Amino acid sequence: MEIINGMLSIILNPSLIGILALFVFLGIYVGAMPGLSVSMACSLLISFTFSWEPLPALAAMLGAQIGGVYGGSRAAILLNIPGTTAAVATSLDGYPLAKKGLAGEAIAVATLSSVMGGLIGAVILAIGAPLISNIALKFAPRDYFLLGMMGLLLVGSLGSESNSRGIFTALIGLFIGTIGLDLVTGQQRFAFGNTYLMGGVNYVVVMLGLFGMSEALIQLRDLSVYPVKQKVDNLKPDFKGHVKYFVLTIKSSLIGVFVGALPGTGGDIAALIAYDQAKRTTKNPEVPFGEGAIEGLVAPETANNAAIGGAYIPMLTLGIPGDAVTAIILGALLIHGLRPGPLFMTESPDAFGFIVAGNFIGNIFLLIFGFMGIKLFTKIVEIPKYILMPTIIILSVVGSYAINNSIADIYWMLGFGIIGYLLKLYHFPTAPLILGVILSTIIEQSFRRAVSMAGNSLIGFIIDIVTNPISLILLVAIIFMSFSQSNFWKKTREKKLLNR
Amino acid sequence: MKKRGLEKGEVTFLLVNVLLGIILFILSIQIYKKDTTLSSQGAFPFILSILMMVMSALMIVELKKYDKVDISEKKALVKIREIIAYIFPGKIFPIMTLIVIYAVVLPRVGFTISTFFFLSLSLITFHPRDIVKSLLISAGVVGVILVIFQYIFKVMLP
Repeated sequence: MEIINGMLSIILNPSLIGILALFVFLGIYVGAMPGLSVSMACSLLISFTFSWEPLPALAAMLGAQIGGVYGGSRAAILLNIPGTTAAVATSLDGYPLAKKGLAGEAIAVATLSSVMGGLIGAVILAIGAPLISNIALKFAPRDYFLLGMMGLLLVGSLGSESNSRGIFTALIGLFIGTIGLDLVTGQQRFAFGNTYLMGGVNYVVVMLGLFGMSEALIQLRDLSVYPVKQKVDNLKPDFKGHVKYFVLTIKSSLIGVFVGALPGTGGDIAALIAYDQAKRTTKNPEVPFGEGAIEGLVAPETANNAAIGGAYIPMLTLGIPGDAVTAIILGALLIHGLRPGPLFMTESPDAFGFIVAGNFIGNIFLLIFGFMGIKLFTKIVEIPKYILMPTIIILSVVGSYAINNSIADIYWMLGFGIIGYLLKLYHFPTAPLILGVILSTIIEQSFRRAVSMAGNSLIGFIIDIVTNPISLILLVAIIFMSFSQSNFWKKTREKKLLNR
Repeated sequence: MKKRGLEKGEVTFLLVNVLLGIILFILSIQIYKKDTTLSSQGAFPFILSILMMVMSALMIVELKKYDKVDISEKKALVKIREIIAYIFPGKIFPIMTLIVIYAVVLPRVGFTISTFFFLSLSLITFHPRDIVKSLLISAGVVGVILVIFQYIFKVMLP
């Protein structure tokens, strides 16, 4: 009942609807602009909506996420530069379509696919989250520890060129999370008597540095890239034409939700897997994949928006974010006093209902805004990087100050900005670091509770894991994931493929 | 997948990470030795620091999979110059300097003035000939930020 109340709270509240609509609209342009990312936008939004009530702040971030993930497709189709990583697969067939003079059709297909994926993702979130939440009530501290580790292992290994580099940055994140007063003993750890450090490093500051300032610096390294734009015409939704992709839409949505729900993955991986699956299973496409196949556009666009709903499932029910953006939104929920986890459904049913309804309504706004404002879009992408990026740095400064009205936060943000710049320069992924900082407390506290329950014995802790069905399943999943990402496994697979 | 070559300074950066792992290990062991139980406040950082050192070692081992750039015959000074040029290409160094100055000046002269000057000087750094245009754009951006954040978001500005 309270979940339905939560849904009604957004449906019957014009200001919440207005905020959601506004940020879906703005999100499309943020996602469409190469160099700006959804993570960057949500990091900035956390700090700017700090003083807002929880629901309007959540509406803003949800809108920016839905719009931003879709927005990446516009730049991928028109400029061959994916606006977001989730749109990498979209450019494979979207840009060839635009080069053939079919940019309008491509955008229309991408919009319809994104909306379908988003709606299916929202339905599965509404059904799946309460079910997972019931199972999660049976989780012991050791299971939370294993889940957190699984998330870090996945995010560390997927999407980075080297597993060790990804895991290393995740470990740095976990370490940063331990700075400050210990929650159990109250003693200082790595604070060196510094009063700022005793309170711990604020993760919003880390996010703004890594996703805001460092990204702006990376973009400023090369100002010479001028995208070649394509003409857009015939921007009309073709619902009838889209029906023939119904099966592919459902399949891609399910892939999106499932991959999105895996801790540590996200829309980008979901889109690539869905594209690959569509390529392998579509017999006789009208146009070959890679040369403008509509199926090559439907699959990734459906999957990356479906992944949004999927990523919310582990975040809301287990407190483990599915990807970097939901990690940021998890941070926002914590700031606003909401505690995602198995008790989230019972403690904050209205907030859950609000998130589900927000996902639905946000996608309806996406359908509206996806078919308009294309002229504005072409103007906005013309804003030169040398104006945009210093502005992002200023916004990161404003955002970091807004959290505690502390100048020290600005200095820390700048420090993390420079660290993030160096990490990116030398091919270290930064998303695991953020996930590490956010998950640090839950992983450490779960680990300490679990080993305490096992009599402070490592052997007892291991016995507890292997004798408990849930823990054992999680352990086997971690071993399987680690093995499947190992060089040995990758080389064996490559050999097998070559021998075929 | 095509092998990429090592970036200039990449090995040095990895060595810095190794050093970071060692320093964190030393700091963690100091906390851990006060209470050596697994649920103590030092146990988790201690385990993390060991894992960091293991990952650092793996990163060094993995260096063999990248194409090597033979710079062994170059003098140390030349190598350092190349690394600096890689980290700070084009206008990155002046921009970073402006950011540092901005951060120092900000609490002293306030948000509006310092942001206006930071943005103007950044734009002029990229386009030295368009001084008037840069000043006008900066004034416009600062104005928009003030309106949006002070009046709409109601954010306290530095």
